[in-house]
Amino acid sequence: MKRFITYLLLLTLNVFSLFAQTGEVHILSVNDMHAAIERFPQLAYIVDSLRNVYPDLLVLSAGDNRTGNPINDIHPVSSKPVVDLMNKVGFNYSAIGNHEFDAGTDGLRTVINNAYFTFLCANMYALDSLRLLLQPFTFVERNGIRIGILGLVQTSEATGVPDAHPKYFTNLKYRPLNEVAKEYKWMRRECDVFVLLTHNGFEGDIELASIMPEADIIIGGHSHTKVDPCKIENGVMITQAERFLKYATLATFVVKDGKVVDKRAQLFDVRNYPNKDIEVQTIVDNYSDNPVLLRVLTKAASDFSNKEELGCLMADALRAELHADIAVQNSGGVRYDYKEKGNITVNDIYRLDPFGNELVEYKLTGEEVERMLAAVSCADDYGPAYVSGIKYKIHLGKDNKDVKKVTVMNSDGSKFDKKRTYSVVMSSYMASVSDYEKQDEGRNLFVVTSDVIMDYLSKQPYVDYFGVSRVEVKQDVKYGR
Amino acid sequence: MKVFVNDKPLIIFRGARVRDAVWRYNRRYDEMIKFEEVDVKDRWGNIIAEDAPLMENTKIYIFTIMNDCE
Repeated sequence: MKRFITYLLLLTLNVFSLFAQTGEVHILSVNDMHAAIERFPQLAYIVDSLRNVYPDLLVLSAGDNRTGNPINDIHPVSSKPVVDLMNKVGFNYSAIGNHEFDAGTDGLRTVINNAYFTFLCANMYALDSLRLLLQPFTFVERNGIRIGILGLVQTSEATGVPDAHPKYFTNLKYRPLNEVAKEYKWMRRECDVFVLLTHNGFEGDIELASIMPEADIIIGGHSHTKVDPCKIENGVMITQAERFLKYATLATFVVKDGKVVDKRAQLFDVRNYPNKDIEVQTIVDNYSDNPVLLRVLTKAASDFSNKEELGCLMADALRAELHADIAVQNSGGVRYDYKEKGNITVNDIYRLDPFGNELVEYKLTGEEVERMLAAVSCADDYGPAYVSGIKYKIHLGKDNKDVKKVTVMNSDGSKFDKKRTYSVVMSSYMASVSDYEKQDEGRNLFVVTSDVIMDYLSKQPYVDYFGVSRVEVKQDVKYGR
Repeated sequence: MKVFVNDKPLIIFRGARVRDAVWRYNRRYDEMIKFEEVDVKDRWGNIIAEDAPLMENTKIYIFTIMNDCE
């Protein structure tokens, strides 16, 4: 009988300890790395050092692991450099960011399959046939403490999908993040530390904290906010470590009897960290030597002898790839004015268009197109824009800034219909700096201009822009040009 | 969509980023933002990167960083 009572007591204690753990949980998190592979040697050193002290360290990413570095983004195996490095560092989980879709669902599937870590996203629903092996949430045990992690991605109010080109979301469905988060409040009862791993933006995470006080922490991304080291909102800790692996956040939770009794955060300066992991540096060096930048996209049959010829090529590429009626390329955005005939490489395009601007689409009437061309000319110190889909004459007055008249023609010289509505694409820079009266507020297409130009060129056996000119500039003699 | 830069309301295309709103506010920040000569902060005082996405009614503030030689 005595033995039975002792056994019962031990059993009770075991059951109690299952729900009433005491100890610490340590989570290192990054977000919006955007393929900054050059900072992985520092990150790896930090992670290794922390794991020496906290062997149960969890390493999480709040999404947007890719997009921002051609060495990664145009690698033949989707995002292989970043995935290899995340595997090497020992990431445990990642949220899905809006840029995870930038190589389409096929590219995302490759990333998921090659990753040793797991992607979490509860508000995205993919057809089974896409074979995207995502989990909405997970429970893990660290140091005897049970941690629940729920993954969530932002969706745009206007489109209902994450901020990326709509073409990437075929066969994928989304629900609003806050609505879905509330359905997982039950996770609180099943764990000691409840983590929301989101790609939602800081403002969105503030709102999320107001409806999810059950969470202990929101590890966020998307808005590239440097939260130093954390913000407590409605009792929920919110962290975010800017972008490009400049920083990483270490969050510590002290759990006693199954409850978080203390939590704190610390921001690590990864960019300026003095030590590097040599092995990881070698991997980075090997990827950086990749001849991907020397890849030949197409050939130029003749020399490009001025900026307009190059600008017209860029505008043609943007118009063709986005199936627009008109594309506009600002003169200042064409970064060199001569290119000899022969191979056009990836590196040539990054030099020609190095800004990483995205494409913006407007629906403009013919009259608005004329106003837009005048406004762009005024806004760009380098002169009138280069175009595709139309030709135009521009009459400039004093200082090139006083646009007296713009006359647009169709490409073949025929009359331009001013009443028709045209789909017009231009860079986000031009869309931002040119001010003119229009009805449509425009929309970001979330594709980078240089990527679009490369896609176009890789489909052309050759290009020839010798003598191409689509802008006729008339300048008042008095002022000269 | 409408965003606010230094409390000034601006209409800009949907899906715009911080740098787009800063350029829209004043084109003279064109080069400065590229070379990280300005800090942009949200309404809580957090620094936000120039390529951070904006939402409707987001408020941001521009701070010029003084160089040592100035």
